[in-house]
Amino acid sequence: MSSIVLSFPAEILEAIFVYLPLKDLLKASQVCHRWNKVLQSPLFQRQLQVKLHSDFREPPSKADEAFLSRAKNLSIVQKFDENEIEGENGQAGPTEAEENISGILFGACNELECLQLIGRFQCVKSVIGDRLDELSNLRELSLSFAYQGEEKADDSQGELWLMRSSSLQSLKIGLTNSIGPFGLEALNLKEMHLTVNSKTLLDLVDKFSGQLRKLRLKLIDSKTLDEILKMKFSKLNQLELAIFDHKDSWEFSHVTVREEDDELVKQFVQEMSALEELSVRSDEVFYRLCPALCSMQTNLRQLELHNLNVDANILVNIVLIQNIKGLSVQHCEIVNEIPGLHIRLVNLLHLNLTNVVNNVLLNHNFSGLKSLQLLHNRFGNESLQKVFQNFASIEQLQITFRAKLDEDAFARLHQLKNLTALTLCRTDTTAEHWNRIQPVPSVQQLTFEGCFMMPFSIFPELGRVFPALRRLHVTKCCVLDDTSSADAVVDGACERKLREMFSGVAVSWHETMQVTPENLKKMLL
Amino acid sequence: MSTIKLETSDGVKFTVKTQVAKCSGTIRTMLEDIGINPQDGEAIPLSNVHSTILQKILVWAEHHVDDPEPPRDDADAAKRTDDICSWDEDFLKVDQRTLFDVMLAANYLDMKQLIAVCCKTVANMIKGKTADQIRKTFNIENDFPPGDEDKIRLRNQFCEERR
Repeated sequence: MSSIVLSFPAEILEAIFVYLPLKDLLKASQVCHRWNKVLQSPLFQRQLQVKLHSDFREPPSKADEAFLSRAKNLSIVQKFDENEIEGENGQAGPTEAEENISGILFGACNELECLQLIGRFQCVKSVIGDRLDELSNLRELSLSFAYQGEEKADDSQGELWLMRSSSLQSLKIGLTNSIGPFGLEALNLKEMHLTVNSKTLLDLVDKFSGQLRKLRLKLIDSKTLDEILKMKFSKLNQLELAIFDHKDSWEFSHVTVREEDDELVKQFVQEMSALEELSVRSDEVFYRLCPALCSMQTNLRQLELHNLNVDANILVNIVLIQNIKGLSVQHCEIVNEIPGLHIRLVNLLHLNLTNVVNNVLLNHNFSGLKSLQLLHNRFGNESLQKVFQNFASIEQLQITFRAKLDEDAFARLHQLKNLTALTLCRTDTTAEHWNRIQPVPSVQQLTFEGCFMMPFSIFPELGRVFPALRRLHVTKCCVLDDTSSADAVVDGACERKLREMFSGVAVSWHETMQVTPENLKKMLL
Repeated sequence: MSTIKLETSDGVKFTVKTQVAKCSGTIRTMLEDIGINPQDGEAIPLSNVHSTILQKILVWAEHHVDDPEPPRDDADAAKRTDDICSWDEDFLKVDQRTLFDVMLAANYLDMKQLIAVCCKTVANMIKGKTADQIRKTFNIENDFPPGDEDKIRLRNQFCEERR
């Protein structure tokens, strides 16, 4: 009888393989032609990156070439000797290593979809030359240019390097050291990810501004931001902007100084009619861009604020005026909040507050919110009380509190009547926390992740508090067996006992270790 | 409670609670989008499913009918295979042939949760085994020419996980 497995449609095999870690995937690819073929599909191949890390002094062997001929995702890092820099800087034609890399790229790799190339600008230029279009399946190109020893990038020197590719969709430039003049022609380019520190790169952004869907930029100074604000990104869907700025020089009080470019910013925002996701990663970008969002309608659905001082009034106004569904505020300080204000913000569905220095945002009423992620090192108890009071609608709650929680911190958990999934990350609780809670019958999924001190005695309480539990995940935790039973020392006993205790619940136990109090003492000493 | 009739490939008719039948995306679509009216008493034909398998699937659907939509999974959770609940584990303790038939039928009927549980079960059967052991488990013939296998093995040595 030949196996029924062979008659599976590819979609089922893929659905199975998704659950396998890499080492098992590699084994599975050796089983038979058909499995191998499914695993050669872009879905899996893009997860497999072939890394070549060498000085490329030797040409590839026949075996290497045969192997590379089917690679879809290749990363080439050229190692070179610091001492050779001077000798090779002269325009003496391609070196041996460059020829060998070219040979690999344009001789062996016919199916390449993603290419990452890390080396000196001159070297990468001479490797690729004008042949990029020969890689006819290439969709992602990611370049990083190594430091070449000079003080400042001078991109006006040398001959123009023009690359062409009709298949390319995504360009990323990581390190932008020592870039010479270069250009790109790519009709299908939709995504760009750059640090803009030179005229060449600014021109590159300008050239593709009308066709990009996704853009992530790190700008070197305010002047570059001025230039970006003059461009028109009519198809852009996702934008991320950061500036290397000095925290001290930009405060919300400087907003007025910048009022003269109000019209410019408004026009910039208006042009981006397809923009749905905006990520702001510095004060200057926030205070120049975001006030405009307080006074005009856009299609913005997601806003992410990173590492800045957020003016509370601007933020609340944006959430009120735009139809924002997801808001993420990370590593920010909320400033200029009017105390006592309690605003109903009904549209927001997802909120993530990570390391926000003060928790004033929690004072507002998010009556439509479905999911809340809260990470805080200090205000654990206070934050939780506000959540129970002002966030009654949430269905998913994830909290990360490293500080010690009061014993009655969770006492009002039952007020979250719609809560179905609760996740505790790196948040230590004891049985005392849980035995003060009334049952919360709506919760179906409970996850503990990275909890360092997790006494086993909390689990019987959890069974009582969450009678309708269906899934219980314990991941990367350290469970302290405080039940002092005789088999406490046997590894795996906690997991077994837990599975017995929650027999009708799907229990997962991942990368979690158990210790006895005696073990723990030894570990800590 | 409203019921509908389902007819399997071997001509057996089942009367099923509508709510249970709607665990299947395929049936849900037939009822809602295409507008097949169960009140007519006409059975919905399931030409790809045998009665023995449908019976088994209905037992599963009956047990899971009140399951909520699973919460938005993070990428990490999606890869877990050790969270099959004990009821499902017992349910899938069947011979391989039945397991695979259930899986194919679940795929045809578009029952995402059942497919996931089946796939996890099969993934667990693959995990930790050598290629040879996998072949034995699933009765797969090694159809690589002798030299090729080494090449594939060699290729795999170069691979590293992305992400």
